[in-house]
Amino acid sequence: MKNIKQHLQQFREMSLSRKVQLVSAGVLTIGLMTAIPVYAWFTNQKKAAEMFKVEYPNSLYINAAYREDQKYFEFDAININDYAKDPLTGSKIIKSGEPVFVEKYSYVFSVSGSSTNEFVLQMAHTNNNKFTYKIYDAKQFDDVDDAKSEANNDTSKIIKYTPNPCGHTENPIQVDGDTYVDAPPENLPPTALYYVKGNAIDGTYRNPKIVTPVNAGNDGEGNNGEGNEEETTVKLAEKDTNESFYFNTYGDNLKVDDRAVPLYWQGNVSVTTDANKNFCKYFILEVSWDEDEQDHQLASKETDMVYFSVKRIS
Amino acid sequence: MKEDNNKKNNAVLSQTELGRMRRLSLIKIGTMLVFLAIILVIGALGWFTMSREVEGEGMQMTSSDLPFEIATKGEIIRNQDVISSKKTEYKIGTPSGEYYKDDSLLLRFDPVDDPTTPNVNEELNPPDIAPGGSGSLNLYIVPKNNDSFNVKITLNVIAFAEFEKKNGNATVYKKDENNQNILDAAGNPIPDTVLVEITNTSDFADAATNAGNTTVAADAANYVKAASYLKGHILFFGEQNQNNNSAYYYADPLYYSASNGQPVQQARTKIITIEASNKDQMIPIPIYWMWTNTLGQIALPDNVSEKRNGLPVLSDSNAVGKNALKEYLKSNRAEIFANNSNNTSGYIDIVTAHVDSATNFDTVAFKDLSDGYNQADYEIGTKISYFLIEVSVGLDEQ
Repeated sequence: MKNIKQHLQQFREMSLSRKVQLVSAGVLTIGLMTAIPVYAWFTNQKKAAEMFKVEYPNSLYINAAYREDQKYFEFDAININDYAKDPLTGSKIIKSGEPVFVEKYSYVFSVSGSSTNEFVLQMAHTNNNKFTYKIYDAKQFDDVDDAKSEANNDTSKIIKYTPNPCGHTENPIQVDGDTYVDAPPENLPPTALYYVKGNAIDGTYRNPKIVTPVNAGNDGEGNNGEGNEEETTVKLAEKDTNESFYFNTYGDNLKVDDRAVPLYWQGNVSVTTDANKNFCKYFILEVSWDEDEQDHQLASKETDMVYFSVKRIS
Repeated sequence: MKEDNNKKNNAVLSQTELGRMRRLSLIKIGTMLVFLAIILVIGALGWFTMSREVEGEGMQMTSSDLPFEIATKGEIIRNQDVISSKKTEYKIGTPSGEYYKDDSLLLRFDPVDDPTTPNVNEELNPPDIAPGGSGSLNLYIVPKNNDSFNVKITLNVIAFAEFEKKNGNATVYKKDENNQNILDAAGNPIPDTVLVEITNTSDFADAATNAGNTTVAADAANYVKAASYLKGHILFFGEQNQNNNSAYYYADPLYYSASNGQPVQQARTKIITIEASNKDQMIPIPIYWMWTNTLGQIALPDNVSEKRNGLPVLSDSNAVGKNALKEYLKSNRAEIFANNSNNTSGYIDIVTAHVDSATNFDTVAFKDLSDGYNQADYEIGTKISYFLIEVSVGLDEQ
């Protein structure tokens, strides 16, 4: 301590010019001492670099058949009193000399995208009609004979689709072996496409519950209408433990029509991509009903909504 | 009288003293000036060799203490306009036959014409990099003498984000010299954007604020996270499976020492021995990178569960390498898995337990980890526009 005090005293006693010289000499010495190692550090490595651009994540596309715009995926009115028709010829199917009622309606949709190996397919639908919804794998053919041989000549597995010109404003995906043509007037799409039903897609309903239903005469409060009181079991949305409906969706409202509560179906689908990492997978949605349950005279008009969504897993 | 004499003596003394003092002063000043000059010169040399702003030819500083040069070969510099404007310290270099040499070198590649497979070196329309993308660096070392020596390769990944300039809430559009909007092919104005290197939250937020984009500035922390995910997801290897990618992609992950099989202290490094008697030879340094698509390709011991979704990055029989990658996953989990709200406190345990147990992996836990990995990929894709792979080559201390 004394030494420091002595040194400080000496410092204060020096003339100004000497102080300046001492300080600047000290600063320069320290500067020299740091500059040399720093220079050595800077030049101790050689570096090389390469720059890459990142691709924005691609979304998955849900479209109609042939990857056409969603407006071409048409859910027409289902008329259970219609007669069944051969999908290829359009003429009525005759069994035992009589035309038969249609048993199911089929709709084709597609999921396409890129850089995907697996995705989740979700379907949600309401249950105002006593319909059963199933999703199947489908293959696309533009030649009817190829389609027939794929279907083993079972024409009930074939769905005919008429492509629309200029129907591709939403989907830009082209896949090896499945390119769409859409540039009239020179390049017209094929006049007809055929989709052959394959295996059912593996998936389950996530909220099933078998409850005795209310039928058409129901006023929503559990009072059955007079007359028709068939009691059949139908899968309805699950209520929670308090026997009330989903709180997040309906809040405290208990007067919810059972059949308006959606059923949620989900399955995983694996795909293989082509050389450009693109894929397109076709599906057939089959809407069917139990012939015995349907009353063809008193068929009431009900509306159901069906939603599809897809999400990439990997 | 006495005082006058004293003054006179002082004056006389001062005169002789003055001369000596002047000389002393001159010497001191001279010495200090010399030191100052040396420091300035050294500082300037140091500044040149790490310069970001040097324009024109600049000074090519060759350091004489490293016994090698680095070189590259190829027709094309990838994204040359972007890298030249953002990282001006990297140079094209001096040509030497087919090769280019410099101390801060822009790497090159030769384009291939292979439209059937997605190759980053595709000549026409090369793809942008997405999960699953991979490539190799065309780097060579040229020894200056015939000695044998060890070099240490260190790799780094730097991310850049591109976002729109804004004026208040309105987008700023690109304008021509008459201050009219420049239109694209569809007739829409093109937003003016800035490309910013992602370093840390406050610097990136400042850059975004300077561009008027308060949305990006407020989200700066997530951009920094996305940059760290990119650095975590790009894996580097020293060897490629030449067998047309059957069964696995690479060997020799740059996360462990080939000599003793232990994980290296610093990830993404490798020690390479340059043999003697190789003066002026172009020695290729194989470095392969892959933005691994799925967690299963890194972490699963086999594909019995069929959850791998792609070839593994390392052969399933490469126990040392797979173990090194597992250690890498465990110690860098914040840079690899996005925050997964299903796994907060148990997350560390799940990562450790899953990647440690080779035979007994829990499907739910693996799926949660895999979700975290994929979510990180999505963050990278939506926030990062460009990335730079930097390779530093120095002498190995040992």
